[in-house]
Amino acid sequence: MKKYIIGRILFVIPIMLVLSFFTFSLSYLSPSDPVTLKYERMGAVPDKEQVEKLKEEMGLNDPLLVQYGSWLGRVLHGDLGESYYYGTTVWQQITKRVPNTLILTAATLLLTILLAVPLGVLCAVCQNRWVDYLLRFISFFGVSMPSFWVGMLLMYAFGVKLKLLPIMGSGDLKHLILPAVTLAFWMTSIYVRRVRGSMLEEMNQDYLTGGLALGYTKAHIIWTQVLPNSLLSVITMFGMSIGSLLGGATIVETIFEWQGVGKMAVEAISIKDFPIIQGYVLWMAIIYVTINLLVDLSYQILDPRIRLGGKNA
Amino acid sequence: MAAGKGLRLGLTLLAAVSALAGGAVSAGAAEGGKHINAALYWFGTSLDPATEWDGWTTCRAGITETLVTVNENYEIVPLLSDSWEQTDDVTWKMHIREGVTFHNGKAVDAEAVKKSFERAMATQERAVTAAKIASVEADGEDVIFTTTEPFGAFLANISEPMYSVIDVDAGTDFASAPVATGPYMVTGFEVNTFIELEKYDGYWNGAPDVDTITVRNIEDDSTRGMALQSGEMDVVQRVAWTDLPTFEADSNFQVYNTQGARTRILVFNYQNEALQDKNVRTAFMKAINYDALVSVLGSGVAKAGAPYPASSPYGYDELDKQEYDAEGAAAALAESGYEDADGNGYVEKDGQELTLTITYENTGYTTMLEAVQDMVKQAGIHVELQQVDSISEFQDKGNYDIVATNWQVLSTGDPQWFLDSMYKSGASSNYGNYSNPDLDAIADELAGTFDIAGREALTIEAEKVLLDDVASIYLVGENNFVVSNAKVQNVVPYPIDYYFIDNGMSIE
Repeated sequence: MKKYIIGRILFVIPIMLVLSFFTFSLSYLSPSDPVTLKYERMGAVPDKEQVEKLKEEMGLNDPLLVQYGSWLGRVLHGDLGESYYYGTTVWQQITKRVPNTLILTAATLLLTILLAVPLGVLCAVCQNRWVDYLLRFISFFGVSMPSFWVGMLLMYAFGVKLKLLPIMGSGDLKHLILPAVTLAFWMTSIYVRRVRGSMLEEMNQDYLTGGLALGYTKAHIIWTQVLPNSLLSVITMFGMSIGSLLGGATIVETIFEWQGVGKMAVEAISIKDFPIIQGYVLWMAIIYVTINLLVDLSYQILDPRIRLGGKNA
Repeated sequence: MAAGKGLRLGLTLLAAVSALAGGAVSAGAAEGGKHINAALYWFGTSLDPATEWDGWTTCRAGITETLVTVNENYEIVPLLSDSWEQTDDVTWKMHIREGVTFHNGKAVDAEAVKKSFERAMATQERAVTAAKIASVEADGEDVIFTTTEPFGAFLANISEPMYSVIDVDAGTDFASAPVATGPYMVTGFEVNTFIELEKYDGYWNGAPDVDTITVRNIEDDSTRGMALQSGEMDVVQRVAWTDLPTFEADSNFQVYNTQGARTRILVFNYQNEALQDKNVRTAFMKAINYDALVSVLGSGVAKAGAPYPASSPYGYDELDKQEYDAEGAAAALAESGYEDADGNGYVEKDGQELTLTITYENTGYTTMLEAVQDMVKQAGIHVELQQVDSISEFQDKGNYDIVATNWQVLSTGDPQWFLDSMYKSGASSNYGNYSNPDLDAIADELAGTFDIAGREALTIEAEKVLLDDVASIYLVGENNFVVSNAKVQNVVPYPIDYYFIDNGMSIE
């Protein structure tokens, strides 16, 4: 088991090498450079000599492999480099942004679990009755509406009209509500349908009839047997959703001025802040490997079939 | 089991972090007193005016001031320097106003100004080149500037916010707490997020009426507009153009709209054979209906047709501006032998259809350029639009017909920089290789002309040359707008958008 986990963690290394080289090459191939973009962003017209001088200083004129090599060398010494734009180190920038994204992710997940599981069960139990139709109809909207639109509608309703909540900023709990609800609306819509589907699949299994024959109530079987079994198939997908949320809900973070990693990534990409982009890619790789590992491990706990067979693995 | 622990650890971590959310910093209003919540659309990365363009933010927030400033009529007016004198072609004697103090109470003297300029020049190259400063000396109550060459734009260019005067010896962190001379001083700053300001009671021009201001960075145009509607913001710089009519119609809000110093331009590439023909450029220019462009784009823009905005003192009314003239366009094309022989709606010459590509990068330009495309089609000119990631690559290689871009034509309120870098033969940003000896001569004369009236007259001469050549097409001027709720008073609509909060701005 330990060996398995260590193996999985070590697997991050080749993934990182490939990913970082790939993003590095893409940045290298893209036509514009960060120095010119920085000028243009301010509406100023870059002076060719100055641009060349700065590019030389920043090592942007070196061949791809030299640039990559020096970056890798620094990273191996724990130095992610300095942002071209923020005037801080990449590490400072990421550690400042990550907590915000974690908070938003945690709140979104909490809301999603609290809503999607009961509603999904309700849909399955009341299959093809009006409750089921209504919830599926709403979730259909939730999935189809882009989150920036939902966010804007919520801002308008709760901020502009009702004046109950602040529409932007990050910091305390009231700033968290609208972005979290925006994301949770979309996530819940997906998961209600997903939970419903896997519940129905499980409810067709023979053990339900068996349990009823043994005298258990339907409710008891559903909560103790059907639900845990059906959630198993939802977990992998949930893991991926957590990954994407931790990568930063770029659009939602941007419109709500939530200072998370997603907003940082968008800013970095738009001005070609390569060190930040590389730092972000590193963060994403770590998240996905970790989440996948956690998902696999959670199967070991939740699914006896894997747990028992897993001893030989 | 190890796995269970890991999972639990993860969840605990998430829970702990979410608990922290409640205690995190927030940009709150001060207790009592008059408070304004203001929003900008961009922050730099620090509050050090000498770094990059961060001075634009300190200037907008009323934290820092320069020796001279540019008022709402593009006139250079005294600020920290109350009088000046040019002693020879390269020497400027600037008298430092008496009674000005830094936020820490220290008097601003010539020595402090000298140190501040020297620090700015050591911090970035732009501070050396913009005003062509060779040396700065303190002499009693005067600061003596020597320029590397006779430079008529010196006075205007030292109004650039990077030349803001700060106390170099204050001992505070320049990036987060610069000690300057503006009506407001910094009490809190979070990169990209907010600046907390408090009025400076010792401000030389009278302490402001407002006690505290929170300046927030809201990058999304729609969010900024909604923050104003929701009451979170009292005054904001810029909203989405599409939201302007809503604010204009609502008596709870006040829109301050003025034509800015930014002009949207179609820049020709003179390496293109068809465009070397003045008749083609003329036809293109006359095929565009400039009034219609403004009505398509709404109140975010003003009519252009000349390089410099109508609100500037550069002869907008007396110039023979670019105007819509369908017949003139047809005549110009016919004169050069273009005609639509195959009847497909586009003109040809020697069997070659007149097809030009407009390259642009700004996503906001699509509507405008589609309108242009449609207009010139009426004249028989086939235009294709090409949106790219960055136009600089195309400009460097000369690999384009026409570029759609915009220029801050009166940066620091002075016209010279635009002429020098855009139209002088071989200039750094003259990507299209425009060249006219008359224009070069006027630009050179302008550099050595120091009196305001003389500079105005020369600039108008230059404009006449450019318009006569149809050197470029000046499509529209961008407006600057500030929107506030009805409580905010004395908002000055500055045409240069790095002026925003001043000591007069107030709130009920």
